[in-house]
Amino acid sequence: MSQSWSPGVTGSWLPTVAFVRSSLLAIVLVTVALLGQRPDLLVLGAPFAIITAWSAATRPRTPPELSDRLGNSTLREGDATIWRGRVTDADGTDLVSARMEPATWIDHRIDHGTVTMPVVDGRTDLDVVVRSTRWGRRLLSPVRLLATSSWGAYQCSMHTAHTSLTTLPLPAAFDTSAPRRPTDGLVGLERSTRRGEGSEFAGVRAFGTGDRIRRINWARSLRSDHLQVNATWADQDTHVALVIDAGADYGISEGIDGAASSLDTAVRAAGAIAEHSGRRGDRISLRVFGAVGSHVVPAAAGPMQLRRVLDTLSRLQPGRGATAARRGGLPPWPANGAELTVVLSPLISHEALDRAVSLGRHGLPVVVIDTLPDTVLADDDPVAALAWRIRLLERRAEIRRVQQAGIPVVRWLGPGSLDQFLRDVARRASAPRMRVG
Amino acid sequence: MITERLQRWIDTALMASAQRWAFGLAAVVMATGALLVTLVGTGDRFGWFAVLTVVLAAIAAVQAGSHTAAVVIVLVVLQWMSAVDDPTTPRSLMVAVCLLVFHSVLALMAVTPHSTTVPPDVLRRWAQRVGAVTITTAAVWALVRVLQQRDAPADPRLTLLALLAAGLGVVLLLRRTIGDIDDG
Repeated sequence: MSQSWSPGVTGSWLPTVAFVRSSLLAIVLVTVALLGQRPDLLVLGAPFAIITAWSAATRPRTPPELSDRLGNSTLREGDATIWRGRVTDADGTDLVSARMEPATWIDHRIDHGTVTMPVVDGRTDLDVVVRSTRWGRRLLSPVRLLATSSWGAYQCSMHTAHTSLTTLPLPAAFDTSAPRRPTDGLVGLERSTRRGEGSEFAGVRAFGTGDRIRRINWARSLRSDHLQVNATWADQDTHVALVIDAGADYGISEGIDGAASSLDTAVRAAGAIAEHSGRRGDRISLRVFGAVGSHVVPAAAGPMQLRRVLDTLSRLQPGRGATAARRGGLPPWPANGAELTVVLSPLISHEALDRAVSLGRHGLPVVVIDTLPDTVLADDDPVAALAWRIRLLERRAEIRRVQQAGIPVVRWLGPGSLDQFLRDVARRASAPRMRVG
Repeated sequence: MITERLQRWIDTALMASAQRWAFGLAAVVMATGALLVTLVGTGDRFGWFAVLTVVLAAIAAVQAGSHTAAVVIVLVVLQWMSAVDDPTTPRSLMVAVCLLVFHSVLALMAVTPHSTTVPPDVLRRWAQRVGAVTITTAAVWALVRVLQQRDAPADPRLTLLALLAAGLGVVLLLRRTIGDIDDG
């Protein structure tokens, strides 16, 4: 979304070191030439005297006006936009330089975020390419501009306000070829599970209160004593519930071009699953625990839902290791109505595994995606590296116990990561089930 | 502290555009050229004083916004005063032009970021200005030479008046030109 022009802060014109240098040299050289009767020093001092006179004669009287805007305030990871500054009413100004301060996750590949432009007819436009390399919502550093007069004699500092930039996660590549639901009826890409309002024919039954007139099967009704209606399978899609453990962010995050942290993997994987499911017409919901603030997206379908999910993901901030329980309550788990629950967690805290087991014991299909990067072991501190090794051994045992309880734990590998799990779900759905608890 | 400063210098150097390196080199070459022109024809060698001047010129090129450039120019002028006695020698014009370019390049470097590339329009505008000042300086040198050849009394006040008259005349002549140059 393109922003409107916002005014910047402009200072006043001040003499530069170059002007001080030229004027002092002019005075000193002319004085020494006069006192020492050295006309050759007048020749040496002449350029500085001329520059001083020229600079003073063309000194700007009023500070220029600055306004700026960001080409697009919402980006995907790796995308770039243009910051544009506009300097007007700049009579007497020779050139304007702009410099955007370096910021984390902001890439200034072209000229390192700097640009210099001449002023023509009292105005100029300056463009700086801004590329965001990691998801999140952050403020861009103020852009500092320097307007200078002829010979760089006077300068006027200007700066812009902080600009907000939202970077949506770039969903990782994901696809699956495994079926998800039992074949009770066909609605779109998914099969419904019960009768109700829909378009897929299920059978003929007696008319009941609330049945629509257009559902009456007149040919069948004529052959019976009661009105008969066509029954249909309900139009039901799959509800994919995404649950993210954002209690902490492990590993090194180098943006879209480098290594991914645990939260990077979780966010991009969640975006990929949401995008994939959204294309299939599934309903998607999102719940985050352990993060700073509450992040819940109720289940819905459609392209706007994908945008809502990505927007929520871009706002995630890790809770620095605090569990959701200690942070004052957990969001309700999507046990009701979720046909598929995907938990994305680095599995360092017990919370994600405990909840996954709890859901699994209720007979709900749940899969845990392990997002812990391998780079956590590469710690320069030997004590920390040893601690990580011990914790990972414990974690391996915990994962094994969870798997023995029937909860699959898989690593995120992009396309096909959930294929085996989805095949198991489809197979189990056709088998008799016993609900426990 | 020193390590941080050194790291900052290295970062700045790595970030600097090729054009800025060229500017810095040009500044050092101009300061060295002014020194060499000063020393030509005199018995003086390129001694420690000259080495100090070149080193300071290099520092001035790195820190274009500092007063080091003024020190360099003063050292060159001191060298000139001690080595040259002929007030009409054309070498004074050459030294003046070298110092003019040295000052102009550093002034441009001081107002532009290290990593930026100055557009050709700006370079052309600055080159035109330097050309105009060079012409004016040449006129001053010619005036000094004419006065000296006519055996006019060595009265610096007369020379200053002549300089002011020449400067005023050049300004009047270049008035339109200055406006054109500043407007690009």
